[in-house]
Amino acid sequence: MTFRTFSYLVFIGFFMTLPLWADVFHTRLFTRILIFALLALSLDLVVGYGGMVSFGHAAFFGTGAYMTGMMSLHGITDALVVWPAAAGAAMLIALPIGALSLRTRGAYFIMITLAFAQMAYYFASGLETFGGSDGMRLLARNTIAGKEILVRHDFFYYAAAGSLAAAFLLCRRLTRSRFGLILGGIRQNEKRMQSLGYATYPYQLTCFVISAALAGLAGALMANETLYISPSYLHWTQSGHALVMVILGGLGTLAGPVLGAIVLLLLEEILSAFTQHWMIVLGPLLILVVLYARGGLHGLWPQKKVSHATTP
Amino acid sequence: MPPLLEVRQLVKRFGAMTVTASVDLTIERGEIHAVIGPNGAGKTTLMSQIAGEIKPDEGTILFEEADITSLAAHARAALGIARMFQITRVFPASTVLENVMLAHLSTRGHGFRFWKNVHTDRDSRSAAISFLQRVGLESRQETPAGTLSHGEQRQLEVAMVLAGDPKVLLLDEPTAGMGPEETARMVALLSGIKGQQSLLLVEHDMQTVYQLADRVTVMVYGRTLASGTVEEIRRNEAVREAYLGDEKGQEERDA
Repeated sequence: MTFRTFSYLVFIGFFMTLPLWADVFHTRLFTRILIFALLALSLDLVVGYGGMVSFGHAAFFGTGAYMTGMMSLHGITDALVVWPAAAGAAMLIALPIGALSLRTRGAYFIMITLAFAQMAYYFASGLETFGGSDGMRLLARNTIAGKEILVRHDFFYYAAAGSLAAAFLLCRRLTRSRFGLILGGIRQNEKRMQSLGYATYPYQLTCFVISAALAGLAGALMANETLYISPSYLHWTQSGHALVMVILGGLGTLAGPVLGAIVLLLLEEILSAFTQHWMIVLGPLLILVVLYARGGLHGLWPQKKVSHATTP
Repeated sequence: MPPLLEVRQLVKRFGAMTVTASVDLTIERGEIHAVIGPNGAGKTTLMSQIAGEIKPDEGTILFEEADITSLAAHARAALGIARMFQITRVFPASTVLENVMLAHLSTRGHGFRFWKNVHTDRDSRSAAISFLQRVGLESRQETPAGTLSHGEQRQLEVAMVLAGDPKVLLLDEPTAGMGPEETARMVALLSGIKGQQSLLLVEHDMQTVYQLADRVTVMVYGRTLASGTVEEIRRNEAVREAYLGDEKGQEERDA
């Protein structure tokens, strides 16, 4: 067994068994970490694989959360309905946003996705039904097939972990498929892909919308975890937070954003216990990673050897 | 049998300068046709007009007997006219195999297939590997294309244009910037596809042209000086004076 496989097994074992030995505080902390890991993973699909730097993923995260709140106001509280609906709502929002934003590239794309997310933020702040800028409490967590099992924090932890694992496997298939191959080509040289005969726009838009679905699911999970929705879900700092996780962990890898979410949120947790000014420590740390670990933290991990040998 | 591609009385002017002056050119199916001439003879401009990147002022271009003079570049590419540029444009972070798969799959339906692993899909994989074998890069298939040498990247480019299954291939100085060893490998590779692939070749190096071409067109100052088989061109007096004469003189001086 290589060190790489070993470390993965330890990693998975740790997260599989965590609620069995951790107290409620830590179980809930790690639930939030897993949910943010899902958000970071969805963002990396767009940024790392699609080459589109979106600074507006909070819009889709927030859409998922508000969809959960809206359905609970109407008495629909079953996760089997609400969570797919939250993902679907995020896709519906992402379709026009992506269709318009993808007419631009580079810095303009960053700015326009940010602008759309800020529009969504102020729209949510104006929604009196959902408490305006104060937000709104949810009565209870979603049920699963009518059973209130998610009330237990350990069960909810496993629901979040299961969602992340499913999303991870989905992204893994996606990035290795023909679609993923084409997406990688577009990221590297869009003009060349066009001269090879690919219409690049539909591929990018599809990637953007799929990513939004995962962000929406993360939003629904977060609304369930905190039992609270507010415009802060849609704030641009939320988008920035997710981007930092992706870059810290390693752009264009699947394990990277998950790792980035874990490290960033744990650091925030630990440092804020020591000092109120924890950002003074965290900031330089992030700069060091960006300067000296180009592939992010995941890049520091021992990589699988690429074989250059002649294949028979 | 009518020629695959036919250029008739093509004229292109940039202001007062005529860069293509009533050029005629035919490419038969399966032949390698070389265009030679000194710098500024209008070889690349001629090729750009065939590829559709520059519009001619007069004349017609026929492809499989259809008039394509007013077609845009991408429409001509769809008909099977592929151009390989002087500048190398592979996907550096993708592996050699992925590069060829991308070129090959563009001709094989849409790419909205999200589930099946493209790397283990036997059809797309084996086709891509067969193109790599033709250019002699099959042992490098898992290498990121950006780490290949310049010559190998050019070989990969050839594999990529071949994977697009073109009817005619336009090669603009395929050995430009290569060392002698790499040039020899590229010439060997091109002679390997001789007879199977119709090819228009713009080239400076006379040795390369004599080794590869079936027929040669010599251009000077935008006009066709002579056109014929390699032997006919070698014997042509006007060509000797205008172009080869210099080279011959050079050889004598070197000796």
